[in-house]
Amino acid sequence: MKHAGKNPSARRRATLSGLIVLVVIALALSLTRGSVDLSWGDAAAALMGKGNALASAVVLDLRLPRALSALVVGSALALAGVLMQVLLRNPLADPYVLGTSGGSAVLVLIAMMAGAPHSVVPVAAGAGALISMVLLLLLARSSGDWSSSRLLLTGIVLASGWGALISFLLSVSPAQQIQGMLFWLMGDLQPVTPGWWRSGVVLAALMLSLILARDLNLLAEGDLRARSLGLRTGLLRLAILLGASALTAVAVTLAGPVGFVGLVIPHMMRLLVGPDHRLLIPSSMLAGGALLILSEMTARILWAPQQLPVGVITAFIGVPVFLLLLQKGASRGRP
Amino acid sequence: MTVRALSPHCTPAAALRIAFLALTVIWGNGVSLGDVLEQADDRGSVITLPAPAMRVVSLAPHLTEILFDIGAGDRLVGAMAFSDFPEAARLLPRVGNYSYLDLELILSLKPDLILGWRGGNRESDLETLGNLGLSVFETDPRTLEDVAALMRRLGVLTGHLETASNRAQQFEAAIHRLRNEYGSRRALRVFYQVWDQPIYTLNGNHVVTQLIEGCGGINVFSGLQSVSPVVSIEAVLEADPEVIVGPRESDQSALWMSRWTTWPTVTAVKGEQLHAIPADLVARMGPRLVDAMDAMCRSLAAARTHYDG
Repeated sequence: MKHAGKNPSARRRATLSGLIVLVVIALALSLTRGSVDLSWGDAAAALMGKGNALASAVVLDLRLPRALSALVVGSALALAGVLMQVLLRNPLADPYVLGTSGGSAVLVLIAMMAGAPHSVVPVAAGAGALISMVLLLLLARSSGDWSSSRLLLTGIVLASGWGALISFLLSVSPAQQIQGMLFWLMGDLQPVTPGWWRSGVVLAALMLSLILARDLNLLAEGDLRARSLGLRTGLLRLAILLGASALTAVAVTLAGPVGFVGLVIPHMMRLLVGPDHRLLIPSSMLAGGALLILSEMTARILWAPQQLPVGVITAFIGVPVFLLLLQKGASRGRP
Repeated sequence: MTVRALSPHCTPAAALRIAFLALTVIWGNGVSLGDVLEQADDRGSVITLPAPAMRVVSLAPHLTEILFDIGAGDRLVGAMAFSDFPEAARLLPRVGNYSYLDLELILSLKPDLILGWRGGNRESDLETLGNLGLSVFETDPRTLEDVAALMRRLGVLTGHLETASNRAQQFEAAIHRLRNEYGSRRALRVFYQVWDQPIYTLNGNHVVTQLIEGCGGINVFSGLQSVSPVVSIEAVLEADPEVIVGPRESDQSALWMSRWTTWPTVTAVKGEQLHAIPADLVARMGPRLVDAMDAMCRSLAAARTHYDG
C-alpha cells in the first residue's frame, strides 16, 4: 500500500514531529515516576534548578541520566537493527538475536577481567560486535545467496555460543565481580549519562545513514539491482558493517545486551511509514529511544521497590513480536 | 589496625594521617580533630563527618548487626533485605537486596552515613551514592580480626567508641578462649558445604577456614582458587573429610544430610559426622561469628569424641 496522494514531505514532517512528541512525553513520564513521589511541578522545578535538594538529586542525578542513556541505547539499537536488516536482507535481523551483542559482551567481560583501563572497554565492545558480524557473514553465506533460515540459525547458534563463553567467564571469575556482571548481562541501565563519544557515534551514524539512505533503499531491493544502477555495494556493505558494530558497542557498553529493540521498532515503523530509509531511519531511532525510556521506567516501577533489568521488559515485548513475524513469514513463503 | 585494612592506593600523607588516627583510637579518646570525625575506609578514602552519624543506612545484614551490637542501632534509618537480626532490624525500611539498590529511596532517607560492603554491593552503586554527595564508608572485612576492627571503626563514626571497644574486646576474648580450648586438639579434615545443588564450599580466604582452624580442623578445600568454588562429589570423595559441616536453615538441613548417605565411603558419612550450623552465623561478618565458631568447635569436638573415644 502506497502512501501516495498526500504531500510526502508534509507527511514526513507530521510523522517525525509526532515521534518527537512521543519521546518528550516518555522523558517527562520517566522523570516523574519512581520510588520517590514527585509531581510534574516538582520535576519541572528540579530541571530548571529550582527544586528542593531531594527532588533535584533524584531528577538530575538519577532519573535524567538514566533516561538519556535509554534514549541513546534505544536509538542506537533501532538503527543497528535497520542497518543489519538491509545488510542481511532479512527483517528478523537484530543485534541481540544474531549474537552481535553477545560477541560484544564477551569481549567487554574479557577486557574487564583482564583489568584493562576504562578507555579500552568501548574498543573491546566494538571489536566483539564486529567479530561476531563477520563470523555471521562468513558462516551464513551459501553460494552468494542469503537463505533466511540458514542466516537465522547461524546467528542464533552464534548467540548461544557467546552465551556459553559468558557462562564460562563468569564461572572462573573472582566471586566479587559476578553479581554486578550478571545484572548487566541481562541488560541493565545505570544512572550514568550516555557520555559524549556514545552520543557522537549515534549522531554520526544517523547523519551518515541519512546521506546514504537512497543507497540503502537500492541495496534493500537486491545486490544485483543495486550494482546495475552503479552502486559500489562492497563499500556500502562495509560501511553498514562498521556502523552496526559501533552502534551495538554503544548500546552494550551502556546497558549490556538489551534484546529485540532492533527487531520490533523497525518492523513497526515499516508498517507506519513504509520502507523508505530516509524516513524509516529517523523514525525508528526516535521510536526506539521512546520504547527504551518507557521500558526502563516500567522496569523501575513494575516490581517496585525492586528494579528489573530493562532487558527483561524488552524481551517480554520482543519475543511475541519475533514469533509473530516468523509465523507470517512462514505462511508467505519467506519472511 | 586501621592501617592494615588500607588498600595499596593510599598515599603516604593519607597513611600518616591514618596512623595518627589509629594512635588516637588506641588512646581511647576517639578521633576528634576539632570535633571532626575521620576514618579511612577499606578502599583507602578517608571519610570525614562533622559529627557522629545520626542517620545511617546499612547496605549489608552484618553491618546492621554490628551497629546494633555496639549500641548504635537507633542510628539506622534504612537497611538491606535479610537484615533480620536483632528483631528490631526487621522494622527498618528496606533499601535493596543483593541485586539492586533503591538509590532514590536511599536519597529520600537523607542519610549522613552509608555503610557499604564491597563483597555484596555493586561498585557502580556505591560510586553513584558517593557522586550524589553522600558519605559512603566502604567496608571489606575478611577475617575475625577485621570484624573486631570494624566494630571499633563504626564506633568512632557513630560516637559509640566506648561500647564498641568493649564489645570488640569481648568478641576477641571469646575467639581467643575458643582457640585456646580447641585449637591444638587433633586435626580433623573438615568439609564445609555452603549449598548442596551444586555443591559449593569456601576456600582459605573465607573466614570459615579461620573458624575451622581455630577449632582444630583443616578445611580440605582451603587451597582452591575461587573464594566460593563449586566442587564435584568426586572431589569430596577424594578429600575424604572426617567431618562435613553444612547449613541449618529452618528445616532444610535434613535434606542435604540425607543426600550424603549414598556415599558411605566418605569417612564423615560412615561415622555419621554430618553437622549443621545456622547458615547466617557463618555467612555474616558480624559479632555472631563467635556463635558460629562456638557451634563449629562443638561439632568438631563431638566428631573427635566419636573417632577417638
